[in-house]
Amino acid sequence: MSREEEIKKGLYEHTLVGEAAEVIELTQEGIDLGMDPLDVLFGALIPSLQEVGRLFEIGEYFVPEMLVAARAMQGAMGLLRPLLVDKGAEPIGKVVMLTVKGDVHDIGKNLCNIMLEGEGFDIVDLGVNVKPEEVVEAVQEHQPQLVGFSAFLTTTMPFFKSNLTALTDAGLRDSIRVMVGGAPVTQEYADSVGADGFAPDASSAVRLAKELMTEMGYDISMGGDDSEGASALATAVQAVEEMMVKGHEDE
Amino acid sequence: MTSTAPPGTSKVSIEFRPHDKVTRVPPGMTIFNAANWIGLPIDSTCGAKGTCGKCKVRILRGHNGTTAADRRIFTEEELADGWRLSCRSEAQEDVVCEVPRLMGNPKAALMGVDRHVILNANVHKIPLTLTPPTLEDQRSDFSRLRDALAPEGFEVEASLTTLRQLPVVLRKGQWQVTAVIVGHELVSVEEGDTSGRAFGLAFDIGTTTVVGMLLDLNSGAPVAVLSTLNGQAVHGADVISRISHTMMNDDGLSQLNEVILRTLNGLIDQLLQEGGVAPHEVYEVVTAGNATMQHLFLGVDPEAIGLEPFIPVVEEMVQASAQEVGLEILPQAQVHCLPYLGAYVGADLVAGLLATGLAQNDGVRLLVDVGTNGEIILGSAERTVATAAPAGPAFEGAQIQDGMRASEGAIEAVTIAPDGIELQVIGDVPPIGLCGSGLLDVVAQLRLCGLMLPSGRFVKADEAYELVAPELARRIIADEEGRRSFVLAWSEESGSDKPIVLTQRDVRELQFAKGSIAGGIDVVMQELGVEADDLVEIYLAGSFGSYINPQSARIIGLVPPVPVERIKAVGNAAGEGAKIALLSFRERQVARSLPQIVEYHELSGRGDFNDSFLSVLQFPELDSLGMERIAAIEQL
Ligand code: B12
Repeated sequence: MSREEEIKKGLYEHTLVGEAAEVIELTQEGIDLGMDPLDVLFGALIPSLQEVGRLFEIGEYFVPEMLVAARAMQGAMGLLRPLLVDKGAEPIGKVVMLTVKGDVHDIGKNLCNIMLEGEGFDIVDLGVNVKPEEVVEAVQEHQPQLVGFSAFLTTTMPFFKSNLTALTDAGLRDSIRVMVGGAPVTQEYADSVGADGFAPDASSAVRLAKELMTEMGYDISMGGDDSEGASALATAVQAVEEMMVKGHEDE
Repeated sequence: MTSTAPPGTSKVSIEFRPHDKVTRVPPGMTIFNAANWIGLPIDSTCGAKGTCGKCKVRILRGHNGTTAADRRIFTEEELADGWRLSCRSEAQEDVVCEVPRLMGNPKAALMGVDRHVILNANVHKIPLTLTPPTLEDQRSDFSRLRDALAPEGFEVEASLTTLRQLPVVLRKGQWQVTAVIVGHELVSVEEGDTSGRAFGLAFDIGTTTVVGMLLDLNSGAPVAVLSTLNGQAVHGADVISRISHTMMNDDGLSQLNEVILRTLNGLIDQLLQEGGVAPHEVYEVVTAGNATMQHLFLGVDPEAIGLEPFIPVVEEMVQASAQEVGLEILPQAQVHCLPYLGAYVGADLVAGLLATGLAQNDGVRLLVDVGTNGEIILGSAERTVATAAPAGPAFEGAQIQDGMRASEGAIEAVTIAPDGIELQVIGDVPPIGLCGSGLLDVVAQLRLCGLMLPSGRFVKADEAYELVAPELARRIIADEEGRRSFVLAWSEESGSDKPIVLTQRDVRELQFAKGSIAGGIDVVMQELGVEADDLVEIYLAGSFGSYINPQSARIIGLVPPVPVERIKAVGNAAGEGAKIALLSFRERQVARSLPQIVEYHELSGRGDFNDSFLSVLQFPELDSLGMERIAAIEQL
């Protein structure tokens, strides 16, 4: 295995268990060796975070494991971001996320943010207790493709509807897709208020976000519309994953 | 952060001689209430109304103003000597006073958690022989009665309902009657001498269960005790769902009000039948319930409790007549709803404080009511803080794949033995599900035998075989996507023909629920600056708290790691406290002042809760509990 491959394998493994120091060290080494930042990101870090999401979905991982993995990934991103900007890599879409008025539960929303960011979305987090008029302002200002509302109380879920009405009144509803979530929210409730989608957990939220982007006609095959690059990355991801499986069998 | 009183500041001290007891209370509290606060008996028959003149004290130092009541009761010389009625005398500065010795010993009883409670009901039945009116004695019926009561130390008022009753009763009873006085109010007049019969009701109005107690006010003895499900349960399991029902439906509030009244009146009917008591013989009612339940009981809109910033309509003690409220007993009977500490720490916890004496004792204690909404109170006579932790319904078996309420067929306790597992099932039938106490037990036992890691993850099947006997190891199963579960009962052993399992997701739900409560406890412990070692006792209260195994609670980190013998289940502390407040007017006064004394911290306003919550989602390491992994567990 070349040093580059070792680095990618190391990044995958250390991100998976949230060892930030190791992840940062390896990322720096990769950069110093002249590795392609896109390859480091899509060939190791993102597959690792995707695996974190899968493990979370089946209950193998819990909130703390997910948070430390995200922290490790963010450490690496701090080093990679300037290089990615230089290469002209674009986020695959912009999402405005918020917890509705009267509600301060943000752990669920923050986990969604982590996974969406990890997948290459640009996140604008408006925080908690966000009023309908603030939602409208933020959509006007940031021009996202997607907007996500989170609510954890039966008494605050009705603000989904208030937000949607405010967006319609401001003439913004047609330019965006709206997804909703939170512990008491169901698909039926999401439908009844006229949201475009619902997801029960962070990994599903990523799938949903990508679906909605595709519906809107965007190509989300990774890093803008460089389809060649994308397929190359897909191959890289697959390679790393295969490597991981082998790695495990060797142990 | 919201708190009702600035911590530890602006209190005045009151010293009682010759007892040499000192207490610190908020300024403005009466000397009488301050004495009750520390369990020091001062005589009184009028219920602190300033009329009986029995609660005299002599002020030796500090604060010397007189009240109208003082001037009526005492002579000029006595006033100059410092004599005052303690029930009228408010302490605005440090006070030293002398309490005369009691005439006779007050009747007391052991109630709650080893509490010595002085019995003095607020209901007084006075048998009277009135002189019939004549052409010379032209006093009205009511004046006649009032004059006869004056020498007994009562100064009463009567409502229209009682006045309507009066002429008939006096004449039918041939001027031999019994006056029934609650506080200041003449609530009823009965023919003949009925002073031997006086009853009251105490209710714990829970979101799920309602407990009713019929008590003999003369002896303090319970006559009948019954419980039933709260009829509102069909409108949602937790208070937020009930509130949203009132918000979503135009007649939602009156609906829920009628439902709870039906539940209560049904209980009353059964209690009275069982005790052989007539409705008109019940003169007083005390209720303890969370803020939402008491609002719905009184027909007061709870909407603002459900939305940020969570404000109840009233937090003081509410008094109303049975008729106004809609309870089917003597119409003029008084109903008293105990006060709240905050929107989510209700009268049930105020009652819990009466039952445990936590805020009046030395030594720091922790009271936790484990439920959908976990209520937490920590402190001592020096300082007491409270908070509410939203745990969610996992403890009640909801959101748990094979979860169920604690009813027949529920696994309520679990022991993992070397050769397999032992299940204790309610009703001794094949198990059909797992209730909250069983859930805690199985997770604790899995932690103990190493099949579950501190992170809450099950070990993999192959690792299990290295840790425990094959009979146990084979119970760790996995589906094709890798979701693991632990089999509690195979399909042939279960009462539902399906295996009963604990899934990885169930464990996660439990972690959220216990993390919420443990996080709340962490916040109040930091607030008071105490460590686990400082805790003299931990009281587990509530219908769930009383059934959980203290050792399991400790192993999963629901409560701080104190030696297990310091963890006590205290049963229905809310019901016990309501009973105390009914039987002892003094204690009711203590309850009245608790909201000023206990600081309430709303977790939603505490940035530090998030860190606490995240840090206690995991289970404690066994060695931090002074324990070791045991491959075979005998008995907890
Ligand atoms: C932690 C917590 C709190 C913390 C919140 C801390 C924080 N910064 O978030 C604090 C203490 C502040 C809090 C306060 C209150 N809480 Co609270 N809280 C909880 C608790 C224990 C966990 C919630 C949580 O964070 N879960 C973790 C995440 C990961 O959950 P999750 O659902 O799996 O998240 C996923 C999905 O929902 C989805 N998702 C989430 N958002 C979005 C958005 C989009 C767009 C998409 C697509 C997907 C998505 O993805 C997430 C990641 O996988 C729950 C009970 C429980 N056991 O769940 C109660 C609970 C939610 N709280 C409840 C209540 C009642 C309250 C209070 C009113 C109580 C009080 N005052 O004491 C206040 C209200 C405060 C307010 N204004 O919001 C109730 C709600 C009941 C109801 N019927 O509505 C619950 C259910 C507990 C209960 N039954 O009592 N709470």
